[in-house]
Amino acid sequence: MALQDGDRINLEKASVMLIDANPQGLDILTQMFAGFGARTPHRCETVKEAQGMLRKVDVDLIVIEADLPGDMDGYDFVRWLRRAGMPQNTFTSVILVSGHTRAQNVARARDCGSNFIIVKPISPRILLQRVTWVAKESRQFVECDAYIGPDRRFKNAGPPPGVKPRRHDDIRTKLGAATAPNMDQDEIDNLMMPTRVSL
Amino acid sequence: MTAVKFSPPKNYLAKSMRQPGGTTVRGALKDAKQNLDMIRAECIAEIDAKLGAINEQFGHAHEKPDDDALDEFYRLSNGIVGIAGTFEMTELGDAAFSLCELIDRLKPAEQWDWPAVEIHLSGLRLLRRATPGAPENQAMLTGLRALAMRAR
Repeated sequence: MALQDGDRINLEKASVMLIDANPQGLDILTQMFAGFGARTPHRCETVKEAQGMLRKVDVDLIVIEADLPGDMDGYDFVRWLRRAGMPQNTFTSVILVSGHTRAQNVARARDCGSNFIIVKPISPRILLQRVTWVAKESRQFVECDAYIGPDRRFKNAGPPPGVKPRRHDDIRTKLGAATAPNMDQDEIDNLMMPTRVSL
Repeated sequence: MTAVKFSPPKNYLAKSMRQPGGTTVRGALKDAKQNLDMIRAECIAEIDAKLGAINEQFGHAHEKPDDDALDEFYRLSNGIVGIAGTFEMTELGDAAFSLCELIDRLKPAEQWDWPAVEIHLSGLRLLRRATPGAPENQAMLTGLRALAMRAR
């Protein structure tokens, strides 16, 4: 859903951690979040610094550059975060930021457990939109041997044609062509998230 | 098959953002843009420093550099991708992105494609001085992308 200029956002109380080895990259993120109203984001230039801080403070949102120098890059960091056994920070929302992604890292990006990946260049509008998407996140958290993180399926359209269903909630019947016009987003929201109304 | 555990999302960010107060999206974007303007000069100087380092270290790399040097080449170029577009130098960022793609493709290759690298370096130098949005910039970017995509 597009971000409207009149919508309200509040990041004053949010605990935000920004990680980027490039000082200018870190400054760009810091200045954007300062504009969004985040009071004192935790700035980290190394993964080691971030790991130390996460053992002491609870964080609501982490924004991390994917291509970090050294033994642990952004993808490894998110994998570590999801498995480190910290009671709250295990589930912290993570936005990975990436310029060019090497071919060998595409699958790692998908499987590391981040909530979103933003491709650079970042504009304030794109970043703010992704932050609000993450705040509205309703995907379940998945934990298994190979993956820990938000469900990688953004929508459940069932198995591809010709493939038998594997999950109990896979759609088992052929849906066929639509017979009515598409519903608008408000109608869909009302179906998914009914709210109590006091008259 | 291993056990898979599904649990409802624990969205701490949503809880923080539901607090009363805050600002409008319009105000937040305006403030963010003003803040970025304060670091514009410093970031553009960093782009120039990275361009300088690329030209100095790899401007005459007729032979394939070793893996560590290629990683440094890639990181310098990717650094430009990260900064340029935020400060309306989108075309320069796109050229740097194409150079990253080229380096990534050439790294495992046996043959080093110096002409393709050299053309990218020239493209970066030209786009740094070019008028943003000029039609010839797009033509140049199309050529750079085609060069990067054919590398193997």
